[in-house]
Amino acid sequence: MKTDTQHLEYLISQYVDGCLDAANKKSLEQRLLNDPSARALYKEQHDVQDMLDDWGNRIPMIHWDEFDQQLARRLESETVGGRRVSIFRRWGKPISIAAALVVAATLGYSWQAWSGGGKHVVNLVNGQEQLNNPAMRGVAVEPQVAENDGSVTKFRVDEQPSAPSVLSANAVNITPPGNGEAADSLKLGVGYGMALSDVARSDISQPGSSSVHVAQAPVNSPQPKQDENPIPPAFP
Amino acid sequence: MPTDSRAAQDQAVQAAQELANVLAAKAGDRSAFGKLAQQYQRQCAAVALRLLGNSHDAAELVQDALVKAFRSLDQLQQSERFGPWLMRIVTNLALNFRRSRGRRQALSLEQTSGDGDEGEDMRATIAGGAMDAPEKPLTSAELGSAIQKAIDELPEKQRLALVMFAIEKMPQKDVADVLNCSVEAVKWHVFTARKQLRKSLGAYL
Repeated sequence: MKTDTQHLEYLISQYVDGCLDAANKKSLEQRLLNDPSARALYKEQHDVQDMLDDWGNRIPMIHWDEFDQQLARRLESETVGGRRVSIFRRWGKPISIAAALVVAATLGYSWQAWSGGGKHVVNLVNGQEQLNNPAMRGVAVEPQVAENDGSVTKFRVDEQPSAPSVLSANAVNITPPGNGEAADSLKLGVGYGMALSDVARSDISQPGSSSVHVAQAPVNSPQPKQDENPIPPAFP
Repeated sequence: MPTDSRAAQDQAVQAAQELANVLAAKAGDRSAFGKLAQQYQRQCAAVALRLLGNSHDAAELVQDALVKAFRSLDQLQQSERFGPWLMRIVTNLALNFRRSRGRRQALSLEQTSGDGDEGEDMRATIAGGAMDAPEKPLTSAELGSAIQKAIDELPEKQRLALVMFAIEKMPQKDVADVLNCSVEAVKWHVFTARKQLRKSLGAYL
């Protein structure tokens, strides 16, 4: 019964829309003549469509001249198959990337020149400053400058320390002074986690020593695993 | 009979002219595309208005759709079906617009509800205050917004079929093209949509 009613409603819907085929149209009209409930269904759908027709008469409030002008302006910058690309837009991106690289390179070079040829220099005030690098914990050499050239941390000792140095390191490289440095200055390359107190003092007092192997006597800092040590111990 | 023949002839001439404009536009002729835009923009705006509810949004959306259509003309396979293709762009943009507007409204209500009772009042109005049986005669604006709300609540395909076929009187085949379904499916969508409106708007009938 429900299916029959639904079918009838569907036919009426098409009748209201004027798209029912001739055969169905004739039989439906016959039924509408004889069946009050069918007429009621027709009236329901017809009333809804009437309301929609009234509502649909509302015209969009658009200024079409303005619309056309605006559209024409927008289309000027368009092409079929994609947005038209101006010469500035086409080359803008590569040029800006190249400019950014040049600026970055210039800044990097300037920074390198300003910061001493790429070496990170840390001033230790009376040996009291503790750095984050575990290799530099416990440093008591004074006065000095710590330099890090990226692969090894070095302590340039401008004067012989008056007191035993206690460095938490497992290796010290004592290299001849560089050009322009005082004859008695030395450089110490420091590794991780070993004591070098006595050895360091005695070797520092010998300008020109090339390197020294420090006895492996752990002090305050923990012994790291072998593969964590970025600097192989240096031997004479 | 001669009148029918003349009408068919006029229709054929118009179709041929439209096809020529489409082909020229595809080759990059902006003025040809301008003629196509002139031909379809009012119908597009009417559909957009029924889907979005206000003329400003409808105009903006039709502009976007026409620009997008021009840019994508090389993707139009059947040049003789430009109208339904353009209308599909319009309806897709309208659906996207409605979704993003829905999100904005939800966010706005969310923020308002934090301020006190005003959010509740607004929610009640939006949620169905206007759909209650009227106790006094409605103005046409009130009835219009009730109809708009009832249409907005229809499922997507029913809404599009109803707007394009039952309101804007587009041919069923074109509506079927836009919805990517059969003509029978369009008939069914219109039928179920109108039935739903009968329920929603029964108090006004």
